Amino acid sequence: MNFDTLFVSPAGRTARAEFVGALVTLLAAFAFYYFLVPGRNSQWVQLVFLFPAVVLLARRLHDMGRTAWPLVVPAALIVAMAWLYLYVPGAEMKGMVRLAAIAVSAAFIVWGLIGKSQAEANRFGTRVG
Amino acid sequence: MKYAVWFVRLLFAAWMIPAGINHFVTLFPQPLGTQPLSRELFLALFDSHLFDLVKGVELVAGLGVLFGFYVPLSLAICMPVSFCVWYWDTPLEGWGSGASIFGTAVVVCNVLLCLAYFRSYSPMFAWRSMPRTSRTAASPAPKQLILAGRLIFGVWMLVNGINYFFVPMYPMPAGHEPLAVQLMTALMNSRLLDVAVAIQLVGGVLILIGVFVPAALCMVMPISVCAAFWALLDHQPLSLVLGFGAVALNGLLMLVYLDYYKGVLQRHALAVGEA
Repeated sequence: MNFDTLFVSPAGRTARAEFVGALVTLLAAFAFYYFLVPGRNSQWVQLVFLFPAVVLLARRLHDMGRTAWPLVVPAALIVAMAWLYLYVPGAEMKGMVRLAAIAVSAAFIVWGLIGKSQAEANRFGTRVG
Repeated sequence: MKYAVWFVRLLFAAWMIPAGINHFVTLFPQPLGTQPLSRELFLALFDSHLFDLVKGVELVAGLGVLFGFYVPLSLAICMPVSFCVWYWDTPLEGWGSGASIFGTAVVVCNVLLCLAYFRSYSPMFAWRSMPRTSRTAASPAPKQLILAGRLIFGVWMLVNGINYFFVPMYPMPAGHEPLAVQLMTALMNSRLLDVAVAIQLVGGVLILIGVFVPAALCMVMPISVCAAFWALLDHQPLSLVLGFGAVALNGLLMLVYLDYYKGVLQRHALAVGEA
């Protein structure tokens, strides 16, 4: 497994063991900016992590034999949250959207962590790992 | 090890992409500098549009590193920019400034990632390298031509360095057009010109004696490009000939040593620990 297969190419499958290592790395990078780097540029930097996160989860869902399309929901919520925080800081619904984005994203992450890999080849490819 | 590399790669790419985009589409306020020298250098880069090139490189390199597209090449082209970011943030803004932390982080991440892809760069550091043509051509003419080109370029860079640091033989160009004067003044005052000419000096020696030639050519190329850019601002025929002559000779020499850059030019390269 390498960076490109885990974080760049959404086609294909990622087994649970590789998913855990990649997820911890991605969350650590996100936490670095979230906790240590203040300012508006840091918020934009955090938004960049959306792409590798979606790819990582998409490949994990593929490994479980599921389509990745449901990831549109957490991705849309995160984009909406970012938009509100960056451009409409006074919006009342900001907190609600943030809560929804975190909850839905966390649910997908937990699903990726506990979901079983399909032992056999599926429409997304053969099992890896 | 691979997790550490991925961590640094994510940090670097995620920083570079918004930093690059921000110049073309405003996302957050661009730091202008808090010290006279840093402000002077920023304004000179901005007014001369050299900052467009800097930010373009940041964006392209960030995208390359994130999407795994020519990662060793992206890191190599970004190294001079990362160094300048560090130079602006640290010596110019102040060693104890907050900006210094970010500048140092950028250059450290760039260096660490280059080390992670050292397999791709290692051919460039061949002690003695052989130009592509001289290994296959039956006639000695191309070999002699390449040798002449290498010696001319090496002597040129070396003499420029000696002239600047040790024995003044000819005046350093100050510029004729306002933007050229502004940029050269800022480079001199910030002493970034010292760094550039020191690179020319070391690169010239290596190219002249034929040691680490591909790496030395790669090291000098950003200076040659900036010299050509400055010549464009200056509008003087001699400056233009010298500036573009340096880029052309540097580029042609890199072409004849192309075999040594194949690792850098890999579209999909693996970092240390990756399979």
